[in-house]
Amino acid sequence: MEEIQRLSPNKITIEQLDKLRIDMNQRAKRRKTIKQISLLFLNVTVALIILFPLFYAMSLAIMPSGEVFSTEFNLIAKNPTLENFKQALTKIPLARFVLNSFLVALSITFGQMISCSFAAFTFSFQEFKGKKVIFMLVMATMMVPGEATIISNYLTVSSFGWLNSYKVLIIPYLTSAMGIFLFRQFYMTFPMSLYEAAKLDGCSNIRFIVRILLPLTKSAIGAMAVYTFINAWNMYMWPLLVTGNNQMRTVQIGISMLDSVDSQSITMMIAGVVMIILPSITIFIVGQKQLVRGMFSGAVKG
Amino acid sequence: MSKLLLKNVSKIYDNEISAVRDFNLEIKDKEFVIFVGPSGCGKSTTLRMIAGLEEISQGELWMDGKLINFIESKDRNLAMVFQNYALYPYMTVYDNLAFSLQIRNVPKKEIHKKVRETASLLQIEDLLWRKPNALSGGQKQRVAIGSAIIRQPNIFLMDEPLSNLDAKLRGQMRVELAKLHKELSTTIIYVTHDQTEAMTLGTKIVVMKDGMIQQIASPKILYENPRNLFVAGFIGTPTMNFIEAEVTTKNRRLYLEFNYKKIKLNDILNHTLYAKGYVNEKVIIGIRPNDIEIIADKEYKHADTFTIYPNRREILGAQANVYFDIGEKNYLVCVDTEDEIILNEAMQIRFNQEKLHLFDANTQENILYENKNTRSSK
Amino acid sequence: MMKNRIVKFFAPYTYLVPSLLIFGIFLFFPFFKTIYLSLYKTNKMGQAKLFVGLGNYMELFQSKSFYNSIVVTIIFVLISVCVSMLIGLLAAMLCNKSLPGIRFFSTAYALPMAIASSSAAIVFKIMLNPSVGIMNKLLRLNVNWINDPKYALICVALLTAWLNSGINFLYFSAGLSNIDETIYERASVDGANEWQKFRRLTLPGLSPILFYTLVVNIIQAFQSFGQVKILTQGGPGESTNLIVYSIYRDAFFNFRFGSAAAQSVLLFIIIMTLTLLMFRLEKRGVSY
Repeated sequence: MEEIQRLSPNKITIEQLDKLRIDMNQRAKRRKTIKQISLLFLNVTVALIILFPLFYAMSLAIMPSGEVFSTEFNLIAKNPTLENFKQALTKIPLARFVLNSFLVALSITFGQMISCSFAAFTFSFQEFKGKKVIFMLVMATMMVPGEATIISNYLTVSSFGWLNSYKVLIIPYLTSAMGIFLFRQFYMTFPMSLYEAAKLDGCSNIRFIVRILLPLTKSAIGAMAVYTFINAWNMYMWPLLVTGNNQMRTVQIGISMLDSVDSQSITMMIAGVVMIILPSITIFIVGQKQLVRGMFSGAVKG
Repeated sequence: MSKLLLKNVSKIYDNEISAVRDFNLEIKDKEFVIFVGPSGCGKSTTLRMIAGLEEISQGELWMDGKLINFIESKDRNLAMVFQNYALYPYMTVYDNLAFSLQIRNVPKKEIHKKVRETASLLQIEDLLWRKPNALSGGQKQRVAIGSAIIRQPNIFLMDEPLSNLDAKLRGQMRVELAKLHKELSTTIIYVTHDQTEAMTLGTKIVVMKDGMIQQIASPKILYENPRNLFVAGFIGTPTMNFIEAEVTTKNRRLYLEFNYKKIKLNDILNHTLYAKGYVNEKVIIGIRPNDIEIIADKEYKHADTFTIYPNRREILGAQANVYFDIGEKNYLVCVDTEDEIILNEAMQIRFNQEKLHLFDANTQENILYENKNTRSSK
Repeated sequence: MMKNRIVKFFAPYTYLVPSLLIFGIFLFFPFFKTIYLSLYKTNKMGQAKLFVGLGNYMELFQSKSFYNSIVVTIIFVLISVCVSMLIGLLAAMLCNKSLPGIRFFSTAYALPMAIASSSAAIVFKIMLNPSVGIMNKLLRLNVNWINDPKYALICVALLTAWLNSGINFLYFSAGLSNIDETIYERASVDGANEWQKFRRLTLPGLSPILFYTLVVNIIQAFQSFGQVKILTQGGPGESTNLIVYSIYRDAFFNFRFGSAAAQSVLLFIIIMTLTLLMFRLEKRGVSY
């Protein structure tokens, strides 16, 4: 190969050249294909490793419990069954858990949208005394981990007599510093004149938020909504502390209460896990584009 | 430092749109070659194929007698200056200059020496410890050029390097580039859409349109002897005037007739048009605004003059542009500012027939091309 | 007239009321209450009974168990943060070029962020079960992953790494897409190979987001709870007794609210320091 390459363009014969060209073309094509395939192969491998726990859970969920407890290699169900799902829905109040979780997560999402957009509006379009201090204070709350205040919060709500109620699950989460920050970041990209023009047209503040800001910040709202819903759905420590009976338990607590590795419950529990993972995964996949766009256009800039 | 040969090079994309077709060019050592043409003409694509950033779909690319179609760009020993400069944003100017040497494990001392030399050549010694963000457009430009020349590559490739600069700076950098080419005495391939840049910098200009080479020639030949209508219109400011006309005959003499005007042709044109069979054919007259004479004597009338009514005058300094209409179209003649021009009053002009161009109305080829041109490269 | 002016003065604040009310009751108040509680001995109802000053803190600093929980937490944070960032970076690098099925891969890589720590812990618990779980069957080992103090912490850390890898993937992808494509072209022409491009261009280009991600990850890891509670309950022994779990246990099993409050205050100090560090460095510009 090298030798032929050294031939000068004037001395080379047409046959030699054709052979050389075909040869090199094939080589280059092969090299390119190999690169593509190995990249694809690597991707498939990594994706399989990352998705493995989920795949395993799905597989267990449709496995008869007898199969689970064999010493054989049992990655894929040999006799798939929906029995486990049936059991999970009848033997444990899964429907109730799901209802609770949906109620709580939706309320939190909705509430955060309102409180955060209101606060962000006032921080970006209004002038008032102490604006800077209050904003700093709100931002400072991001530094306080929920786990550090959870004991006092527990004592507070129990002194209110709020334990085992929806309000105890919802109210503490009705606002978020991150949401306020994200919305404000978006609002700051709009010129003040937008607000002033609306004011001149006799638009009230609420109307301005609902009619003008909301439609303009759809992507931020979408991102926040997806993020908030998933987090609320996945909440664990707080509901664990403040709910004590099946009437009020959320999905995460309800399912983990079953946690004991005996033959009866293991497949049922996994079936339950699969069922409660599905809503958050679905919402994530549907909202992924929004989430990514919203998250990175406002908050994080490289 | 290197010879480059492109043989029937084409770039065809997946959707079968060809960006470059059948590109043939030989570049000798130390030449300053310019690819010029309107945007989308394939000039950048060709440059990127030479750089190895785009695959060559068909044809051969030879460098110093080696076929390098499939040699990766990192092994081609080229240096490239990009339109947006492509400076490494998180490295200092020093590291930007040194990068190509650092990755080759050149000893630190030598790198240091070369960076100093390059920096002083381009007068950017004071900027060595700044990051690209803190540089002005012109300074970025110098750094980009510096990081290209530091390695003494076989060939420099420059992709519209001046297009992001303002007009004044562009003029200044143009002069410096020309100087640099002399000092480095190396091969440069330079892409631009600006014909002024091409004319002032190049020793060999490749005019491209729609992926095809229109003409390869020196600036002078391009200007005096364009191969076709496109090259004639693209090269030179102010732009050449084009007038659609018909070759008519009377008493064995040929005339150009357009819009009820008629001018008698000189002997050479007469002979050529006869020989090439353009009698009673449609042609396009091309005449540069500088090649139109104004007849001072208003009463003077001759077979090769005709009457116009100037309708606008722009004074540029010593020279002025005077506009006039023939039919629906607007034309331009360059005059001395001192010349007395009265707008909207009849005046006589004459085309300098030595410098007249005639194009075939169908093929748009220059009818007189081969006649005069024997020196132009293939 | 007067009324109008008062309304005008207070109007901006009204929009803050919902948020400030919630922050006040569930953040600022408990924050100070936690500090207050940390200075007292409490009864089983969590009521402050006996002022002990820094007594709770002194006890903590003399307690082996607390030291253990700090050490365990640090090891845990180190492992989980490193692994999850590596996974995120690898995935983002793999997913950066045009490729068939790229949308599927990017969804797959981001997916763990949608999964609850508790749900994931349940799945991992069965995966790691010595007799039933797939892990021993796959690796042909017979290891009691969760009940062996040697492996338990690693298991919890890897689970956490898995959970956080999704968001890291998103961060890194965003970081990569911010890097100008032409500098890679220039580097190719300059003669750089793939490794040199990664080391000299990609890593520095990611450095702002790399740093941000690092701090966010550390903060996240410090707050891990669900996976410990379900997978190991802090055991075996106290080998996975992470600080949040230790707070939980002290408060709700041992009813030592004062000590738990003191640990909460320490956790807060750690996280505050990290956050301030991040802001400080970000302002100074670690990137360029």
